[in-house]
Amino acid sequence: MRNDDGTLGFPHQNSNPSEDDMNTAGGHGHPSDIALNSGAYVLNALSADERQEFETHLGESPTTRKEVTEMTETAALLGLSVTPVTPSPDLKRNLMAMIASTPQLPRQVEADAPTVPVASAAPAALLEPQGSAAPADPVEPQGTATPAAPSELRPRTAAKAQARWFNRPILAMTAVAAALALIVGGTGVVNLVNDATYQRQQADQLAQITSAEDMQQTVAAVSTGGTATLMWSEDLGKSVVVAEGLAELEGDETYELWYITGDGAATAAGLFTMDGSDSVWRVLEGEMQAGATIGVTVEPKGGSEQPTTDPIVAISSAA
Amino acid sequence: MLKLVPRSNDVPPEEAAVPRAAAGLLLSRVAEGDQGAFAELYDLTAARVLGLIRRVLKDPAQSEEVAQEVFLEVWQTASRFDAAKGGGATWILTMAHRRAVDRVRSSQAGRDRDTKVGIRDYTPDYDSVAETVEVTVESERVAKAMERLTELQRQAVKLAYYGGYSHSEVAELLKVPIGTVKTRLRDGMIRLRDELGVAS
Repeated sequence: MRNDDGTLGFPHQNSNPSEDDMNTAGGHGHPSDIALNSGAYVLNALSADERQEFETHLGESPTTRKEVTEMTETAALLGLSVTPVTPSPDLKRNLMAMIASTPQLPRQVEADAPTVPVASAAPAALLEPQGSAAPADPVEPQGTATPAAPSELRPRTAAKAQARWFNRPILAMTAVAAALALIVGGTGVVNLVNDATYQRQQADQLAQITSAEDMQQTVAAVSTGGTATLMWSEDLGKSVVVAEGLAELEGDETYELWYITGDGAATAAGLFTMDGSDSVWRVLEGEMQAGATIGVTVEPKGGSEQPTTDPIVAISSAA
Repeated sequence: MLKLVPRSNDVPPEEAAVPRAAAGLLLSRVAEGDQGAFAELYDLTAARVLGLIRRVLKDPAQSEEVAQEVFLEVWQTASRFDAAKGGGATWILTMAHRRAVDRVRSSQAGRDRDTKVGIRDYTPDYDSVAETVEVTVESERVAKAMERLTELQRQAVKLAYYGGYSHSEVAELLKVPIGTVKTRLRDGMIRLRDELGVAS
């Protein structure tokens, strides 16, 4: 009776409300099981795994995309039907102060590019450092010294340990656009850990870092492929690493983050895996000291207390 | 739980009109870094955003926190708004709902929610009383459209959207299999789409 516009053509949408409690039995042309998740998807009722699975399906099915677009609009009407609540004046005041120092995603940028171009090739407009002291020059690859870290931080006594971290190919540069692009909406790339509380804390800390007035960032190539972007605020003593295009590890391995001091001593700062994503980010545990270097190694699942393999990337935050 | 949501009586009548088209235009200015446009957009949508978050989250302080996150995200990602995919208000409210649900699931309060209280709050009788005091223009349209759903569809949609319950929680609350909940949510949303005249 109703719904005869034929926009979707799913048989059971035409069923009478009084009868449709039995309408899940498939007829011909019945949508696939995953397509049936559209309603739960727009209502945010799916689990994280199912959500990801559905979004993959969404990318492949124009029919489902259209359905979801319409349902999203419909859900928003449900939202608009709720009694408005006037916020406290503080909310607007805080927000106006925050946005004044919060960078925005540029329009149509390298946002979706899988890797970051090297410094010399990067469009200057997109590489404007946010902070005042971001490194401007690419670090010499294969260097005998460590161009990314001031030499006074590296006493000779620790030469061996330090060599582990610093005598690696490192490309350092600033790339606001590429890194910021990954912050979009948060949830899309927050797939490191399924625990929602943890994700929330991570997202809140990420927001703090990216909105800090003294935020700086730098990108380094990962020796096994991909890039790692370090974003940090010295005021907050916090940093976040955005990993793009890194290799998927074996199930019994994990990437581990480290704070590296000038003498090569390493302090564990958290674990991450790519989990099938092209890009993931992770706020580092503990406090980041000014000028610290952040390293990443591959470790056995669960992480190690000290690195057991050579680093695949080391990123210096020293100017 | 619904009765914990204060009914705001100081909403000016003009805010009852849907600022949907205006929101989209303002968003394109916000994407250019226009802080004045952001302030306008905020004024236009903040009460709606907070209203929705409060409905899901109940807790006033946490709701304002989430609203702040939403607007910060609006500022940061305005350039990703695509008018071809829907209105500006839709974009913002979608973000608000997502974040409210994330928060409710992550908070202890969310985990400890008494399912019995939940189901009582979302029974049709209770809602039909509550809805008589709602003030937005969409409120009446949505209430009418809701009447076209089957009881199970209506309960499932309301528990998921306004309660922030996952499909498995909804299944538990309504004592039906998860697969049934999924199809009811989809059927319910399709019916609402048609009743509300949403088409792309």
